[in-house]
Amino acid sequence: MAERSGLAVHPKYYGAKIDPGMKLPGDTRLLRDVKLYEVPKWLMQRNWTPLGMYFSLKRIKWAVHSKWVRKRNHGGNFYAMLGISLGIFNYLCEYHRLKAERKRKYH
Amino acid sequence: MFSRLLANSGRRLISKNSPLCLRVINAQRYSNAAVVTQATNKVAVANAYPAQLKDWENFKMPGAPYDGMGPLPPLEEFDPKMARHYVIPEDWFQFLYPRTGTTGLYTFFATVGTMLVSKEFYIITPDSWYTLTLIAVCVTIAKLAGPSIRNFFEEARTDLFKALENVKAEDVAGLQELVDNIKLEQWRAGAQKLINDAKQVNLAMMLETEYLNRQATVVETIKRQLDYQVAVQKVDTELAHGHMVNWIEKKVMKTITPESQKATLASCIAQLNTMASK
Repeated sequence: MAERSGLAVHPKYYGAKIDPGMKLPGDTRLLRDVKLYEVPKWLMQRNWTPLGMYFSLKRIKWAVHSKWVRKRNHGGNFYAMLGISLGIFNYLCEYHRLKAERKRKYH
Repeated sequence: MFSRLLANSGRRLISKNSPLCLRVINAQRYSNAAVVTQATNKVAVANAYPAQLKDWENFKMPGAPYDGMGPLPPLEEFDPKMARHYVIPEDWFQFLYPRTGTTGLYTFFATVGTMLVSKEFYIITPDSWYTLTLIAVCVTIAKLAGPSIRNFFEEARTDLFKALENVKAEDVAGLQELVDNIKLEQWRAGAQKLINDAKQVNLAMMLETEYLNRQATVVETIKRQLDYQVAVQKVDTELAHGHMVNWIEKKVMKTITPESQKATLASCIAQLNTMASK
């Protein structure tokens, strides 16, 4: 499978000009395409400033929306996945309190 | 592994003065296939996010909408096959397909689920029964009533658009009628043109006849006046002639006596006798 760009921006940029002032990550590979020995280097290259983190959240949002929501006659897949993710996140937050209800003695 | 990590994540010792072969190997090793080329204008990057923004009213964020941007590209049609069982993306299956085949992800979930339950990371509580029933009920409702609910909301949303479109269609039909009527009137006016031309010809003829008539009356009037003068003169001369003739006859009759009548008569007879004898 060919490597593809893991950069998700607002759809208005598809085919349009991108200002030179825009701070896009230089390495736009997907994390699955980054070799293991390159991961620390890849991590150091990311933008860990508050604005950079905000931009990464924006990119995540546009990636998910472009794939699941910004389609004609889209279904409720996004909302179902969102609900399941929130359920799992809530379980992770509450696990500490559920430890008392464990039945087995040895784990 | 960690030594390799450290070795490869550190600062590279290869610079532009290194041998060419080493630089080539380095480039091949650290090259990225699909990288968006970033402009190397560092001054522009620095000025785009200024530290102190004085002219905040006219500031434009990089990547903000600009004039002449044009419309966004049209949305693609949603493919329900993108998600298997409605919540698992197909990409996850394709990610494991090269190594594990078609049932890779199912095996993965089964094994991970077994591990979670056996090590009691996922604890079986009454809540888990509620979760399962909730999922079952949601799925049943979605399968049975989902399409009808969706159609209901879409009809409610599109009824407004349909009404507006009908209004527009009615207006368009009325205007089309107007246009047709105007075209008809224009066609009819083509016939009116012929009538108007004939009327113009008639009018011209009538004007000409009137002109000639008036010319004739003018000529006649002048001729009458001149004839009057001529008649008056004639009457004068006739009067004069008549008067003169009467006066002369009177004078002549006065000179005629019976003796002179007899003398003239005898002379006439004598002349006649002479003429008869010849």
